[in-house]
Amino acid sequence: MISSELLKGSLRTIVLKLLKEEGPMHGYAITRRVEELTEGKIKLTYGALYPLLHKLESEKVLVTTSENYNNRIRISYSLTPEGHSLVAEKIKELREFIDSLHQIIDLKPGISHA
Amino acid sequence: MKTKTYITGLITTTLVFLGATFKVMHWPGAGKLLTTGIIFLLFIFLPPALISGYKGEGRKESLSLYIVTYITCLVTFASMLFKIMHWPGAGILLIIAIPFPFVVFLPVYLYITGKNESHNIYNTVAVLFLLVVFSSLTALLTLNAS
Amino acid sequence: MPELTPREVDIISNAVRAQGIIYSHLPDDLIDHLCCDVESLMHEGSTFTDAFAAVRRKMGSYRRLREIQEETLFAVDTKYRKMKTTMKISGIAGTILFGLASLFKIMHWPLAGVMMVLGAMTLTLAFMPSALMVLWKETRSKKRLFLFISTFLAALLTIGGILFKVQHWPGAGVIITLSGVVTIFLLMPAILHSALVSQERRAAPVVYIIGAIAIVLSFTGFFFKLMHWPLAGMLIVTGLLVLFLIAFPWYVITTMKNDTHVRPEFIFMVVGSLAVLLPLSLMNLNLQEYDKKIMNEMTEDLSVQRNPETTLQLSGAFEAVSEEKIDSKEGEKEVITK
Repeated sequence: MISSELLKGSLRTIVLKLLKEEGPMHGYAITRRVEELTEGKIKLTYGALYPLLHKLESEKVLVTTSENYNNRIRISYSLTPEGHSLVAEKIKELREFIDSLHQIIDLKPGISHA
Repeated sequence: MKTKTYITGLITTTLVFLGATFKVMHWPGAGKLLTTGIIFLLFIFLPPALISGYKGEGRKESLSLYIVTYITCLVTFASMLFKIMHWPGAGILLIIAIPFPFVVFLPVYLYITGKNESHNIYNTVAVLFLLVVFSSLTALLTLNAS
Repeated sequence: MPELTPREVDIISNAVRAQGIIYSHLPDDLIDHLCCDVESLMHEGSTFTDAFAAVRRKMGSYRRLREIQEETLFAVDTKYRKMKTTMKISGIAGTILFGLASLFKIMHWPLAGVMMVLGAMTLTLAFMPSALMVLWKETRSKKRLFLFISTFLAALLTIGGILFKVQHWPGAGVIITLSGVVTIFLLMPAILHSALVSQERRAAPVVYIIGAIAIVLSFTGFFFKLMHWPLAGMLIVTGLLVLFLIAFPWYVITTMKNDTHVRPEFIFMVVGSLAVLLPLSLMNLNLQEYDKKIMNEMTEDLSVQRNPETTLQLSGAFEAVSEEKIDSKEGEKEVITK
């Protein structure tokens, strides 16, 4: 289980990328898919997911549609045009971040500067 | 089984309503009705009702809230009774009674319900509203008393 | 994949709504998500009850739902949290100020007026706007907005009216009239409508309508009394009669007959009714004695035009003069006996 602190900043990028590649999804589906793709290492909680989704919607990055599903209302989230363009930018940011982290984590025990 | 308590509650409101009506219409017996109503409230209705409510809620920590509620009602309504019946000591009782809900009841209420997970915030609004209404009415009273 | 029956969906839906989750489409999000979680557990063999219990346990507690709503609101609008704190603090402070002010007034202690003005200002200028904004952000529903605005308008006018009346400032009558009109014609219909369409409605609509009419009657009567208009007493008595002998018992019987324990709401209603009725009857008492006194003074001397204040002053002077007469008479007696 990856800790939620590590997860927090990247969650936005994760959600955006997923919606770009796999089309409109509802909250539960997003949670399920992330769990599948990461082989159970990342489990999104309600408390992490929905505030983010609503925030993205208020920023006009996402848009929602509702339909009836089995006696309840299902809300599906999808990217707006602005959202689409944002995804590439966010992924680039995250990749740069990961590469920078690599530099530090893969540091070999160094010879101390004499 | 709890129907008994509900019935005593309804009897209490009926008694006080009748007493208030008689008072307004200057019919005899108003004082007796009001007195009986308040006695009903404090000694016949409230104790079983509060105990039952406490058991129903099932949270041990709420005990202080229920006790404080009872004491507040005791002090407040007894003082009103003394005032209505012009019994001696009404003034002193009133001095204690008027700030009592704010100084004793309200803090305990906020503290206990703040800790309660499933507490509905609209209940707090209702209680605050009642306190404001009650103090507004007593303020209007002073208009006539002064 | 097993699907939940409508009844099972309702159970989950009610649990979510009972927590007051009302923001935007968050209730639907959460209900659907919970249903999916339960369905997947049922797919592995659990019954609905067990699956639902397990999902609840994993979530921690029902309060978590409210916390999620709070976090969502805060994520969408960072000013929300500040406004909510303002609302809570000013609500409590304003209530306490107003309440203590009435004590000070009764005891004729100084600063009573100041406290009352401060309390009223806190409630109307800080609490109500922030509460209105918080409620708007939470519901974003035009229907409820009408209810909130009417409530605040009515409360504002009522508090203002009471303040003006107690402080003997001019315009009190106008404000009280306005507050009466707003309460009766805006607020009561709004409350009634909201109670009727509420999903938690437990009694037949008739009860609510009768209760609303009764409250309107009582309010109108009380208002008439304040304005010294005739028929006040009749209105009050009729309204209260319908309320306490018809509407309230009916409501209690239909909604609470199956309870195993006394509901706190019932205790609140009983205590609340008394807390309102008793001061009201005390007030009537004073008004009537006051009026009687005026009548006595007026019948003693019909040729002089008096208003209540002059009457009191004159009667005070009258007493002073009579004391002087008695003193001088005793003085004469002393002189004679000497």
